[in-house]
Amino acid sequence: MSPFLVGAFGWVSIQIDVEGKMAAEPLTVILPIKSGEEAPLRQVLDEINADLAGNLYLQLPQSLTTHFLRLAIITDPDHGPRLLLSGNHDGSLADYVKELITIGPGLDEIFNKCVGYSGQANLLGFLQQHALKAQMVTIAFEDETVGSIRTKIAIRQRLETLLDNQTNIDQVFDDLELQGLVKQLPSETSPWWQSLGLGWFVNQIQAFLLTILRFIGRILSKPDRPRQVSEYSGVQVDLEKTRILATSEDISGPNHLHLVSTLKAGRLLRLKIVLFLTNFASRKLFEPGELSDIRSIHFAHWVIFDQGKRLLFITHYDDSFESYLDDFANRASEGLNSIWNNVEGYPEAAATDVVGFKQFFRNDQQLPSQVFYRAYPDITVRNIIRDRTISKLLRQDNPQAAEQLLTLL
Amino acid sequence: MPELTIDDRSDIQGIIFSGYGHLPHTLYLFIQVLDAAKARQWLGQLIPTITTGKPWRQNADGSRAKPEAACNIAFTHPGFRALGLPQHTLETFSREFSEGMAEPHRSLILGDTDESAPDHWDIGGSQTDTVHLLLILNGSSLDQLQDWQTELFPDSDRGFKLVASESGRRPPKDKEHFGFRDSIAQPIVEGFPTTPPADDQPVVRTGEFVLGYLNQFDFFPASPAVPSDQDPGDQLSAYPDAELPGFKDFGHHGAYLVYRKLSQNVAAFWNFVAQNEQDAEGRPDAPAMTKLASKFVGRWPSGTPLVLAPEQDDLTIANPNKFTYLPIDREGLACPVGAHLRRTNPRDSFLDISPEESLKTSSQHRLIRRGRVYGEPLFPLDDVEKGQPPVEIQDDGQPRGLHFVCLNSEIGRQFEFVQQTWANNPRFNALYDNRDPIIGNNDGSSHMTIPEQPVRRRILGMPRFVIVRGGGYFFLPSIKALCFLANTT
Repeated sequence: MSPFLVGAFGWVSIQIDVEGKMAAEPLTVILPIKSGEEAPLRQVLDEINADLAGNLYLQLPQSLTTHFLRLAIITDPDHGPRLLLSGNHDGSLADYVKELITIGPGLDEIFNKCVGYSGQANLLGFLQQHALKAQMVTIAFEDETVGSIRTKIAIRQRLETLLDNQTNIDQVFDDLELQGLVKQLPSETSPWWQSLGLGWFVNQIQAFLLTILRFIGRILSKPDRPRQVSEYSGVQVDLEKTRILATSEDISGPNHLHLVSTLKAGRLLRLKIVLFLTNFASRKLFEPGELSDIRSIHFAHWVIFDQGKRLLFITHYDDSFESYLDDFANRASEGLNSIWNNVEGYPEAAATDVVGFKQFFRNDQQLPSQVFYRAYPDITVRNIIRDRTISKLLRQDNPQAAEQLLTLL
Repeated sequence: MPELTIDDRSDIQGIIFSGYGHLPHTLYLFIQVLDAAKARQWLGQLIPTITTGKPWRQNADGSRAKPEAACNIAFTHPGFRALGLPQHTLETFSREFSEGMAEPHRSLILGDTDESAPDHWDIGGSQTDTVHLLLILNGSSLDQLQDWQTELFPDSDRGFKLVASESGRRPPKDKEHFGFRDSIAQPIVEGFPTTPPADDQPVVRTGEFVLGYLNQFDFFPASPAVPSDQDPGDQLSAYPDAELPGFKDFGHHGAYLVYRKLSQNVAAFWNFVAQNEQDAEGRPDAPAMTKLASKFVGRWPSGTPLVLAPEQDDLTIANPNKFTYLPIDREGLACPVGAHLRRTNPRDSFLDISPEESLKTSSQHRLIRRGRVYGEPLFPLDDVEKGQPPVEIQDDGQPRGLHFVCLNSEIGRQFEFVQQTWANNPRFNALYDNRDPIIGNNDGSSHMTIPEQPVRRRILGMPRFVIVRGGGYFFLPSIKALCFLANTT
């Protein structure tokens, strides 16, 4: 990388002010399961998933800081079964562990089936010991917490109810409940460069960097072998495997998936460089809610683990699996191909072989999860973008601009 | 791509190219195979009768002589199994087709729940006989078709069971039962012999509808394979680009056909609209009713799109399919973002991507539709177009609706995607809690948002007006594949 680029990266990095309480990094922990405990653990996890609010182990809906959380038992040829715990939460891990203990009357029943667990007093240390750092992270809204997103949903819902009952706009804005909700919103700070009127300048730099990264991406994402007949055309696949994965998916999202891949020999360094660059692009070069023209990803992250042998991908996304992967193939193929062409089994023609790309997930490398929780199941990233705009206009006390929204809401 | 050759067209079943608009009557025969050997023999005899895409005979004056009848045949996955298609081939069809439309998880995806659940279906459901094949006969009268049916199945001892028989017709002015002109938009497909008028949308690749051609992703659609040693007569084509050596391409020149029997609750539809549009004295307001129903559909009863005529119908618009949304109606003040038309083919109107990207996305989910209505109209359908929508109308208990038939090369990415990700999705295109007002899986809890000045309007508690009464996923093989199938031993 040229010295100029390194300098530019540093310069742009400081503009992001992570002032909110949301954790900047996703949580990813992989815990070995004690021998003989896989089946009992599976049973506990199934019970949690069957009744997220009322089970005796971990009552996730009571959490005020969990955006998403998934628990899955993963296996690979080199290890026995392991428990994958992954998600996104607000605040520090120490605070999060405290909350988990409060809402987890039977938390021990999960962790005491894992090797090395010595009780809740040491839970934080235990998780830290097994926590993995993600090399590439996408967060739709780095400045939002579970609380702030829920407040914005409540504001919009109150507005909808008011509008259903009257068309007098002044009365709508004067509503005390609405005003109370708006007051709950944390103050918004714009980046220093924007307050100095440098927005245009920064946008130009971002666009310039993106052009360079896309150029690099085009080189690194070159397919191993161009082809026009899908690798999976005329090939038998395991329908039952896909059925299991699809059955646990919500019909209209937000949804979730993870897959575990094995790196090709000698590709670790290249993969690390690609993840570094895509991470930079994802976190510095796009507007909130966006990743390369895609607005359906709440969270996604890639983690290299097992001493550089494996790559884990976890994502929480909107709408259907089909639409998510089509978006990927259409609008983010450079980044994705550059990442995944370093692992075994990726289609030769990369994501342009959309059927093969989907089977790379479904038939080959996607794994089911046992527990899945989401804090705001009824809204999409696109919804949150709208809710943020509504809240912002109400907060700015700019009824004229807000009225514009009322025609559409 | 140049136009398909006559040889190719003669190998492709005709329903892909033509809706047989000049043949107003249709008979759908849903058949189960009882004796595979007899069925294969029957199929062998039927093949010359099947209508292909071969150009119609030329009259002395140079015009084309339209066929007096048309016959097309398609099979379900159990049907192919019953006829003895090789195991490898059975295992290489798409998952959607292999599992069938009534698979439990699929019912959730498609919104086939409650009254629309396969448990209640007349055809293809969990409580009805398995359907193996569908014969679609088109003709100028129902009598003609019934005679033809008797000719095709002369006695009961031919190795078949007629599981269900349905008749459909092309209604006058193409009005469906709610009173709206239907079947207007069809994709313009590369290489097809007939081209609908230009519609400001991308021309769609042949491979979106016919296997063996490149699709919108510049790939050949996935296609089921026959091991070469099981095709000793060398009847089937090889895969393109010499891929999959050792296998022949059973799907070449074929297509997936989706059938849905959609029953329409006409009285409930218009009474709901009337309830929501009353004048100052509490009486139904006819012009407002027509407008509200049109907002649900996205077109006026005549078929004119709202985006081209926001306030009232305009019969002077020559091509009701030539429009995009963003240049004139970004917000949906003319045609709501959640209207049936704007959901099932959003064209350029995805709000978060450029119009070009949006058209590209939309073009990856197009369908060729070949629907026909069934049942008698509940009221004179032209009344709606004349500004007199039905008021206080009572249901007569008679069945009526649409035999929805569509063709595509990938059921998951095309038909199912449109139903799941666009029609049934409550959060489609940044909406909140809205579903397709016509074909969505509404259950009285979701809404219809209609952008308006100064404040948007929300129609609360949308009921479901269209109930699914049957359905199935079929494969429409090429003539070569049918010959192979007829000769399977």
